[in-house]
Amino acid sequence: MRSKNNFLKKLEDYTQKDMGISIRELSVSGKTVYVSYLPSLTDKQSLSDNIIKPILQYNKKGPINIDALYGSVLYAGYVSLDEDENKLIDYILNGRTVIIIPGESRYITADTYKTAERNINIPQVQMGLNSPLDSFNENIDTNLSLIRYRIKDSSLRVKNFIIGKRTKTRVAVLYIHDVINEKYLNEIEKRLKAIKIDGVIESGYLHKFLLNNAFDLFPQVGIAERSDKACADILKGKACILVEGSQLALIAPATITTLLDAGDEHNSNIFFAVFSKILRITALLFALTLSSTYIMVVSFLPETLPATYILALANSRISVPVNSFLEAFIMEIVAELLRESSIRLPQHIGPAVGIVGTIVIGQAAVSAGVVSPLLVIIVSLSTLASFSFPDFTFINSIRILKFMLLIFTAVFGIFGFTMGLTVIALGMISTSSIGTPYTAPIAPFKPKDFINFFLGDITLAKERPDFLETKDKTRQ
Amino acid sequence: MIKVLNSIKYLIILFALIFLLSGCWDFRDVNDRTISISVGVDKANGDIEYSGENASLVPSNKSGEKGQASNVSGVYFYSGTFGKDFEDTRLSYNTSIPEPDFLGAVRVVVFSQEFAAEGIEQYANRINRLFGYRKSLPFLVSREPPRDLFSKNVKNSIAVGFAIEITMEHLEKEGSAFYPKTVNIISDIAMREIGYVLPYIGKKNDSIEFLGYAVMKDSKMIDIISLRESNGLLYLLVKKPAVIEAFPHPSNNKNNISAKTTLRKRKIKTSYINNNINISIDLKMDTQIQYLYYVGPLSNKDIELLEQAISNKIKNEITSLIYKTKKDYELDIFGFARYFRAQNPQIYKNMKWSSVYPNANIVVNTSVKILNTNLLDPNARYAKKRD
Repeated sequence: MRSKNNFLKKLEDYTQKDMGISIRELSVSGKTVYVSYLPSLTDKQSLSDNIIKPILQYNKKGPINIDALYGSVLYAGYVSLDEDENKLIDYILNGRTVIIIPGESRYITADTYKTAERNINIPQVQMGLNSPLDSFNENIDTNLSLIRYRIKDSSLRVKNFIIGKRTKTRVAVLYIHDVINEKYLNEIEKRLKAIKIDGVIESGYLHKFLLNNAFDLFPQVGIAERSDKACADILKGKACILVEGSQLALIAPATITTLLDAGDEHNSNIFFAVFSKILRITALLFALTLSSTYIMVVSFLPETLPATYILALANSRISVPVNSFLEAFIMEIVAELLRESSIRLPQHIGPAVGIVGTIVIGQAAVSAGVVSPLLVIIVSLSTLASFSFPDFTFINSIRILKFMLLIFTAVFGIFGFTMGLTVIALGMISTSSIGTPYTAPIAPFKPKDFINFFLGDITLAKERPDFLETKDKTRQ
Repeated sequence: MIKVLNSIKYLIILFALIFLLSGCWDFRDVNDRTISISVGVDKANGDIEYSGENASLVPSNKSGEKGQASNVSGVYFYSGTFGKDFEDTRLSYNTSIPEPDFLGAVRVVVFSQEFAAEGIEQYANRINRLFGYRKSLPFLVSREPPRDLFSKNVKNSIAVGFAIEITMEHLEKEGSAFYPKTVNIISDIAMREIGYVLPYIGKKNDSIEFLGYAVMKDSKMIDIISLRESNGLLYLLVKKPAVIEAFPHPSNNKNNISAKTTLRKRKIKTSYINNNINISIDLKMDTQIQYLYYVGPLSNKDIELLEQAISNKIKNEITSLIYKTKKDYELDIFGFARYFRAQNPQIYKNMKWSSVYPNANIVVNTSVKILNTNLLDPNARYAKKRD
């Protein structure tokens, strides 16, 4: 004999707590059916067509009961039965409709979830010239569908997590189960399960929890805004982590080579792919070292330049009132300020910052003799170089390191510069991303993977990267 | 914990290295230094005199735009810094410059004939050992005293130092001049038994003129080889010598052929037989005929004769120069001692090269091949003179 339930009482308690929950009473064949939902998360059309309408039209013999409703009345696609009264509120807050018949020991939950959703837009932070434009949005189901439609493999698995005591954010880990190394998957799962935070608002939150140490400078998880990039990484044997409410998926493990890989060079010819890789590595060096090199040459080692350049350089700095370190430091700060403000400014006045930057910094500062023209070129070049990276989280680290190197060089000259670079190299080498060496395939050196990274040609990459230790190594 | 301690240990070692390696932190912006461009050394009334050019780093408005610094740096000339030795003269110089000097941009060191005749070894060692100078700095000897050479600017460069450098560099690049640097000279001095040559320059019509070579024995100037008689020196000392000369047409005396001769291979073999040094110099040359003064035929026979004529001329130039070094200077300025030492190390150890060199048996073999015979028109005829 089924026991009597408390469902209705619980529901009524919730409705009195100003939670915005609605209850609709329906009288069908002498019984009252209660339909409860959260209007802000519910698709009204679906609720009325698939739930209310069929219940009201119930005309079978005998009184209506839960089993009949579940089995032969409701039209809703995803329906389930539950008897735990404590879960009632969770169902409703997740956008499901709860159907209760007094006296029954179970209740029905039906999926009528609908929320405001942005269209699938073109990527904002990972632009590519020769790549698909469908980027993720904040809806995790949409994001899942963007991956699913690209990888129709039955081995594609989705592990769901609910993270955040209060936000109860859905997190999905996608991977191909016969490709990915279980070691990485288990590690990701372990770290996700260990999160005890009250809320997860963006994937960046999870990123921090996936770091080995909160003070690690380098991003140990890549980001993917474009679904094609996420799919390419899943195929390589990595895991993609989707977070509800975030348009940036996380890719783990991430190595320095993947952070330099924009993805669209794989769609271009081999020469362009190599060219763009070399260009990006040069840009990395430019972004990191140009200003420090300026200080090193101007203040410590002018003799490294040909004599005519020494004169030109000295001449360009005649009216500069501060020393080379302060000059470079101030200019770098100004460039960072311009970059920061151009991100925050509304789109329509964004170009104005560019104009202010060009005229005030470029023209007026040189004319006024506050900075040397060469430094303006150097700072512009290093800022420009920093924009050529596909992963902005990586370049953020480089921006910090640039200042570190600047100070090292100003204090210790070429030795400081060399030591700074050594410290950076040591830092990179000793970092790992979910157990993968961060600098693979350079250190540890895997020649085949390194060549494949450089060539970026899928026809030549017959196997998956060795350092990912995938179960299935063969790609073609 | 141990891991953390280890990383701290490594970091401490790393930073300790910085302190150990740095020595001195010479942070000083390049515009806050007195940039020397050229240095002249002379001997006057028993004292050493420095003269030269320094960059003039004062804001100027040569570009015409108000408030905009000029892109062309000026130079100023200095002289009259005397002292009884280098350090004394240096002190006198240091007291007259506004900022600490910067020697990394010095382009040339010019000695007066008087100073060169008394010996440049001390100054070469100074340049070699002092930290600031580039070791690729060239030494030259000037016809005029350096103070006169630097006093008035040249018309084709912003500084006399630059003018000397660019003039000599382009000649060296074309294979028309031997342009030794500090390291070469120091190496020659270290050999002790050999001499060397330094470029000899002068000033003519506000331009720098390359006049020939100063012959240095024991680092003292003993003679000057004029440019006209220095071709032989090029074939023996310059890496890729190239000499352009006019030769009479083998079958037409009134016509001349302009030919550019370059060295393809130089082989110098030495031996020591019956207490005699034998040096065999084999030179294989390539010649390109540039043009004929009057367009005309040049048969295979002519080409053969021309090759012979060029070959003989080169051989004569080299032989006469070698003869001069043996008989007049009694000095090996070509560095044959290096070849001999490498090929006969034990014998070299037990001999005094400078005394045996004048009696050395030196044979010069030259062969010339004209390369562009097929580019010449075999059917060309002299144009008939019009009435």
